[in-house]
Amino acid sequence: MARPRVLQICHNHPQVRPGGAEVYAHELHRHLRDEGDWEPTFLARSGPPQSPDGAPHEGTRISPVEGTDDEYLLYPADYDFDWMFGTMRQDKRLYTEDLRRFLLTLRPDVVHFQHTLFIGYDALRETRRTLPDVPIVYTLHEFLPICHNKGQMVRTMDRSLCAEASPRRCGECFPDIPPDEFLLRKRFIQANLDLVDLFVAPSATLLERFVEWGIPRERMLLEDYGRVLTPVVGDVVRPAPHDTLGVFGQLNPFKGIDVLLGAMRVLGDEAPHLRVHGANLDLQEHSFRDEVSSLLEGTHGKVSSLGPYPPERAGEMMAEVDWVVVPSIWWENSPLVIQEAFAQRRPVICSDIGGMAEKVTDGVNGLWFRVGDVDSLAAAIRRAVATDGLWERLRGGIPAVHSMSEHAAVLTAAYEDLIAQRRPRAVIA
Amino acid sequence: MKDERGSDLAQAVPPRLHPPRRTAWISDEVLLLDLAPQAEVGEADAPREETARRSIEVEAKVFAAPLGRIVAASPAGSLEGPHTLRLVDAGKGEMPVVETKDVMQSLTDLRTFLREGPAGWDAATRTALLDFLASLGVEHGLSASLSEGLRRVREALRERQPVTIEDRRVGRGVAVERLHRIDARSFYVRGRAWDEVAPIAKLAATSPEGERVELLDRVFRNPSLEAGFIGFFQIAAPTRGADGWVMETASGPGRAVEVSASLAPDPLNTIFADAGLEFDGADDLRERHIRPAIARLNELRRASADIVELESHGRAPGSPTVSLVVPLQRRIDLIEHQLAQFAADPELRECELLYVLDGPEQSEPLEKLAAELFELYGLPFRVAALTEAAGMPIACNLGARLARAGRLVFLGADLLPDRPGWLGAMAAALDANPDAGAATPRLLFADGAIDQAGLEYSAAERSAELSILPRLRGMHRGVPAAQEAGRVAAASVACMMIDAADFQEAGGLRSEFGLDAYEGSDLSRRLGERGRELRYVPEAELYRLEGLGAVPEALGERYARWLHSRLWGGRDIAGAGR
Repeated sequence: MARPRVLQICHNHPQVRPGGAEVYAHELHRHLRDEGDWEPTFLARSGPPQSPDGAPHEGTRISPVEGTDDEYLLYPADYDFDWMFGTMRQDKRLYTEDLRRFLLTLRPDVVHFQHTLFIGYDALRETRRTLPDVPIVYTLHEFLPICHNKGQMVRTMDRSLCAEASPRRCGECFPDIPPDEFLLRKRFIQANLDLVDLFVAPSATLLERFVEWGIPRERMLLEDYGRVLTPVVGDVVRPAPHDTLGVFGQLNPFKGIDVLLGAMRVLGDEAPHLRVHGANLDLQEHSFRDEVSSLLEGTHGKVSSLGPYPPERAGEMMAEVDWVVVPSIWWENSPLVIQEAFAQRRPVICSDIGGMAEKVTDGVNGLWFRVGDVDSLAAAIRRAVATDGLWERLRGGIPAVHSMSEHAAVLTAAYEDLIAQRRPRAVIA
Repeated sequence: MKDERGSDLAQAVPPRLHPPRRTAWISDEVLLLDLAPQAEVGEADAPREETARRSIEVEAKVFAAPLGRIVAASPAGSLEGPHTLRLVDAGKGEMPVVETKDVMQSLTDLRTFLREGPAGWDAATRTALLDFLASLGVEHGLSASLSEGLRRVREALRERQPVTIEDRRVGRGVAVERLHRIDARSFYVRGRAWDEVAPIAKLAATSPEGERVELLDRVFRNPSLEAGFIGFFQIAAPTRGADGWVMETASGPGRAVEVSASLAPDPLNTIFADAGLEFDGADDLRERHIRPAIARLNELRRASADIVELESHGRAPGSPTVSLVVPLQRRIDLIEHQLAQFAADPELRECELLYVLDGPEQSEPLEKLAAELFELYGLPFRVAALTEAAGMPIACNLGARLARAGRLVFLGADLLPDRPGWLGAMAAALDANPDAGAATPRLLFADGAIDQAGLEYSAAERSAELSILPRLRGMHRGVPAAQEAGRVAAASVACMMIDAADFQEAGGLRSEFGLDAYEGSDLSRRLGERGRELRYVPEAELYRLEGLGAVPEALGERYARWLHSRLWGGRDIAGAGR
């Protein structure tokens, strides 16, 4: 009997840009392929700004990923992507021609959207229109459908946290956009998301926010990311003192690197060593880069800027630190860096909000500090470094990391349920 | 124009010849002849024999003055060959006769014709001659060539005054702030005329073709406007082109000044701005000048705008229950947003959806977008466009003509239903009430507050003017008063369901207000006169997103309010509905 086919659609390929969501999605795809019960296909968007190349073959915007037999790249660069509405402006042929042909050729049994950024929510509608009986699954990685500020739910004027989107509030964040446009945006995105059969929310923080926003709770599945665990190279009790901090991931204004460097300045001579494994600072606005440079100057050689790292070497990097700091000023969803830290059995010092506070328990497997508060973070660092036995105790409280096998089992069971539910409905129709 | 016939002159009294002193073409079609005054025509000038055998009658117009007669005629081919032309001015009974040979021999250029003839006449006669010539546009049709000839005549003959500059520090002056063409003979002017020494005694406009029209008694002047004047005026002969008007003012003999003026675009901007002026007597301005101008513009748009279907996408239901008519003005992209909502609404599958573009400008991108959206959404819809931009009400009227269902819904492009079921709820309200003429939903702002739950009226105590109020505006959508279905005084056409027969019998939208609330109220009142009620349907909820800029800025609110009050204010409607 033929294996069921699942198509994952993602906004980037990790070969193009190794962001968290795309790394996870690709790992899921590889895992399903290796397990062998499902026949997976991975379609990732490519092209600018992350990739300079246009479509390699004339007459099609889709091409295989070299060296694979089940991965494709989609090149929508000649379309005009509208960030506000998450759609290609005016020209819809990316969906009604390119994607339609692809769907009809593959005829998947499930289509799982990992992201629609740079592709457009219309891809959901095209999938529903072309494959009316095929379940659609959509993983929520951040608040992009709700929040125009890059999906962070952080206010533009002061980087304060936002708990609720509304035309008026969004209009305050974007004074050049009439508030009415934000209702239009919400209704457009919701109309497309209404076509989804199941949403996967990796954190309760995210799930609740989307339910408040209007997604029916019965269509939500709370399911954390699963990880293909890298070899645990650091599962060795590092000798005291436990005074090396590490921060990992994207360096953008939402990730709070400025809060962490500020705390290092507050600590002055007391500050422990900090290793910054950060990516994409070069893509940020000048003002932010200048701010980070200026803060680095005040840390008196206590900070090592080590640049980006390949995802598969995250464990190795974490093994060299005692504490992993996650100082984000936005809510976060289920930060992969926390899973990686826990996989390496490293306690986490994190902001006391959202997905971070959900995944790290204060005093059990990490320490919280007040989000955005440099003094509070400095106090947490001081406590972490100076308290005898704390590192060992917190390390003992670290839970097992959700493995990709467990995760894939949950997802494929959900796929099967959806297929079973869809079929009878299609017969009635 | 020309009646050619041979006649046996030997049987008639021999006519006397009037050899022209000069002739010149004023245009490709019209010949001017300068003849000696009637009294000076000699006895002996009888036709020569060879030309007397054939005579052709040509319609002509004769301007008689003490120093000469100017005849305008369109002889065309009649000048070929030796014969006589009988220049018949039916109005004056005159019939000068000329020989073609003399005509050809006296032919000169227009400038010489004028310089050697009428340029030497007195100012009053020259002015009268200019009016006479300008009227040729009525007789002959104002071709570009005739317009140009008339302009040259005017420049050669008109009485010039000192040219003024637009500076109030100068003691005497005239300025034209705006001059708009309403149609070929109707104009709207706003300007200023002042003289520190004496009151203005004369104000005249001269068209590029030379017609002079006295404006002092026609335009509106008021102490609140100080030196300003505003007016809708008409001239007798048509005029072309945008340049060459002259405005002249005088406070007495020797105290005249003039200024040239050109036509300005966008008359409605000026007219609606003037309609918003508030002072004692402003209603008179609105009555005598604003309304005739707007009514004429509206009449022209109604007469000239037509509708053409661009495309029909998909197979609409054979017998649709409802036709949704959606006028599109600025933002054709809003189709996508409505389709995203409609696609999830099973009732839309039973309806006909008709988008009506207000003018042809965006037809091409609309056709392309519509085709792609149909591919993506799969919901059938039709797309039509007006042959010229004519405004939302005319788009609705013409869209209604194309619609196939017996029931219409007028729906703004910036409206989004809150949820499916709204159409059924509105239809049920009409079906359940035999006296119902139209139904209106609960309209919401983007933040969920009530925009309107129907319309109501209020007569302000300090003025007799009747105002339209959006009922329950600003209240929470759940306020008890908004939950009660029932009769309301009026409804906006932003979203209105009405049977097509009722709409047609009531005469459609007046299209003179332009704004959806006033157009809707006016229609509501006409339905009311026929014993039909307006029903408010709270189960139907739609967002109205005026901030999207889907419709042009509402310039004419003040005018619409005045007109609405003028039409309906005298009647006891403040208590209509609830």
